[in-house]
Amino acid sequence: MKKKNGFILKNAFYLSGGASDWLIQRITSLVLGSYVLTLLSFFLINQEISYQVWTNFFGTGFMRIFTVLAVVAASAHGWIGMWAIGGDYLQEHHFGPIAGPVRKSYLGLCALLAILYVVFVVLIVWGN
Amino acid sequence: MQVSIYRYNPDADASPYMQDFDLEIPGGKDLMVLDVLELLKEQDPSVTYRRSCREGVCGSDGVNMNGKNGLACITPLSEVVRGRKLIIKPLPGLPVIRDLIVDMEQFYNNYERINPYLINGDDPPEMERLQSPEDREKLDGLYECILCACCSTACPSFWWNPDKFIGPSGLLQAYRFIADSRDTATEERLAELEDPFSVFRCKGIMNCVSVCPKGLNPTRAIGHIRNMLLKRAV
Ligand code: SF4
Ligand code: SF4
Ligand code: FES
Repeated sequence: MKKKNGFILKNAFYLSGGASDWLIQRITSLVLGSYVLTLLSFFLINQEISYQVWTNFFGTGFMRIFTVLAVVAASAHGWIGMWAIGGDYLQEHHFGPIAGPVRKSYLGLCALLAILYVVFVVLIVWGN
Repeated sequence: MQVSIYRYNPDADASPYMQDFDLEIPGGKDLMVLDVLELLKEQDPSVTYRRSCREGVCGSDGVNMNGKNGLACITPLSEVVRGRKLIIKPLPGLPVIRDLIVDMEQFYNNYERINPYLINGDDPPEMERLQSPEDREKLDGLYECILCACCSTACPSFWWNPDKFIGPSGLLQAYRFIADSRDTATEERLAELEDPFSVFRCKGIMNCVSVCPKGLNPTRAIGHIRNMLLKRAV
């Protein structure tokens, strides 16, 4: 069998293959879906939301862990998605010779945002 | 009827352009788009396109008609013409050689990448490799592909990454050999496809299904391969 030629854009996570990217995408969307449902039911149950109700809710260990889990899922999900979009639309046939730098800066920005989101949410949820 | 056709002769034209023809369509029967091309060629012999069998078997006259890919020879005017106007362009996403003729090299390269032949390491039997009727049935809807490229050139994932994503046609053929009970290279075939592009770049848009002139369903075949890859990975 013929050897594959090297990809310029390899995969979303350095060691991952197509199957794991695909699975991560599905699992993270399940996490995000259930997080959204949890928040929705919180808003439905508590008609009036005061600072006290809000902090009590997010102060529980469960919600802290769930919130961090959700933002990690959002970052991973977003990263794979943005990585794929960049691989489709930031290419030589759209940008000519500057496609490489354009794609690299775009991916760098996406990675930075993904990490910052996680960092900030961890600080907000666990910091005092 | 007004027919507008894509013209480009790289030796003479600075850039492609659309040329309009007014065509008398003989009444009485529903012409095929290929008949229209033949009528145009009588008016202007420089109009260039590929065709051979004129009955939907050879796959050489894939073109884009009023925005949809298909075989000119088996696409009746009644099916594509809207408001007495027909726009014919080459298949999208492949380099144009001249007028409606595209360079299929990338498409064939992707076909070659999936090793489109039976691989079986066992000693060949005296007569032939037998297959039960049930196993043979698994190849229905796969082997009929005529490599016309209508599907792959309708697929956005193929447009953007033709060198990495194999495309619906090649993947339908990949599954044709994976599903074949006589083929013993399933594992090697899957290993070649596990990267994030070859198969996983399919986003299930299903343009391929909507254009295939043979009524095949590459998306379903891709789904089978993907499930096998997922099972293999976990
Ligand atoms: S279903 Fe997959 S292969 Fe078919 S057109 Fe969509 S992305 Fe392409
Ligand atoms: S799957 Fe259908 S559209 Fe695609 S190459 Fe084969 S016959 Fe043509
Ligand atoms: S001419 Fe052979 S498929 Fe149309």
